[in-house]
Amino acid sequence: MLASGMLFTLVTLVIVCTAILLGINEARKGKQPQIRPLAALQAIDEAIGRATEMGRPVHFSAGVGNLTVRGAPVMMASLSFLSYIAEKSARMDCSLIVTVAQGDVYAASDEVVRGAFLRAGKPELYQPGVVRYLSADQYVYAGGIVGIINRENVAVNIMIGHYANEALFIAEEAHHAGCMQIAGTTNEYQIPFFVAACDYVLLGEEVFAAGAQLSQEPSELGAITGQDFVKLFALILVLLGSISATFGSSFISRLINR
Amino acid sequence: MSTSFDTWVAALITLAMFSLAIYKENPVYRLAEHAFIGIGAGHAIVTGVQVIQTSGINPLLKNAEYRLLIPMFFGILLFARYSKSYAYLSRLSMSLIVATGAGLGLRGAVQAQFLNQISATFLPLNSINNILIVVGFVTGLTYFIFSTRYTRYLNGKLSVVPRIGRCFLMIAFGASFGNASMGFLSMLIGRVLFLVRDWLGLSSLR
Repeated sequence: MLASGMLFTLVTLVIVCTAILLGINEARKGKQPQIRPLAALQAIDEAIGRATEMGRPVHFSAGVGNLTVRGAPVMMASLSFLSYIAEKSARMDCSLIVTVAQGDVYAASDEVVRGAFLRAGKPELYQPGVVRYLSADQYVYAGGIVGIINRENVAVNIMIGHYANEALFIAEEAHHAGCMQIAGTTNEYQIPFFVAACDYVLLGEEVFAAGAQLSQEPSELGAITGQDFVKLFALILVLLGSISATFGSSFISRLINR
Repeated sequence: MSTSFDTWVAALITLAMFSLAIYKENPVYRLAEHAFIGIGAGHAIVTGVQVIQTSGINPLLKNAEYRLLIPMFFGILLFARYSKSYAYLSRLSMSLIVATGAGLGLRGAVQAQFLNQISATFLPLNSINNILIVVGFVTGLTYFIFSTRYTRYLNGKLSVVPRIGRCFLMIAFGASFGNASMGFLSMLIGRVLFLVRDWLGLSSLR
């Protein structure tokens, strides 16, 4: 049967899944949820426009994560960004450079860029060199990006995905090179570096919300509403837990450990 | 000064990498960067071949583990993307990879990333520290509510709640930045020590 101490985990999992599924179902029925405006998202169009005017490329990096283990959810959200950015760049005739660090991300990114150029009605813009595999080693990857940013005179650096220690190397050097920067990651240890070095930053969960907003996929938008409900659930639990702990009761604490 | 060839190569490459920060993008940096990327790519290929050999071909041939033919088949399908007529086949493998990633991400997430963090915040509101933690959690969480269905309750006077949450987040980021900067400084010190002690041979520096 159920392992000891896992009952509430199961209940929570059911609540989380139900909330998300209901949200998705509602969105699919046409009640498209609205998401509050995110400054970093609005800045993407401005950034691509700026790069087009300057006649310089936009660089997109999804970080060192992969699609299976290392930061898989955020890597998938980053593909939504890539799709939007590639389509927008193709429509504006702006040159795009995508650098990747993992084999599976290379395959997915290449597919996404090819599809986006096709949607923009400019399949001829797709060249094998648009998506570039650098290295799975984080520092080699960072060194490669730094070189590309400097040599190819990149105007806009967009970093959305899973980042580790290389985040600051890339963001700092792109700042040094005068790039406009938009970044986002769910790795809380790297967000501070992005906040310090970039113009716009998507903090943690904002990456998922922005990804859903860009794709306008009812399933993604619905999932955001479901997740918001789960956050309210967590908020109420914490308030109840703290208040009960203040009055010396451990009822909520025991309930959660059942 | 060191007489070791390895140390000289490492020292010159270190200086080449530093040249970007001190000066600007230059041929010396470019040489080091390309060598770094080339070695990284070469290493990735060797590792990849070894994984195919040890986790795929060897068990298949030596232990007759024929079930391994399934992942191998899907792996080979990834290369179908280089054919215009059969590119769609690679999507089968890609969807399998993506779905597996999503499934693995869910495993253990509820307990470790959700409930454990919530129960750690069940603190009695009897000290400044505890009050700060609970208030920081609650206001920080409201900052991450996105759909207008719920954010409309945070309009007017309550709009200050997510803003306070944002302040807490920025304070936390500042603390984290300071902490991580120490790590970067120790990396720099490590490289400088290598140059001064191991390369130049100024061994009195410890």
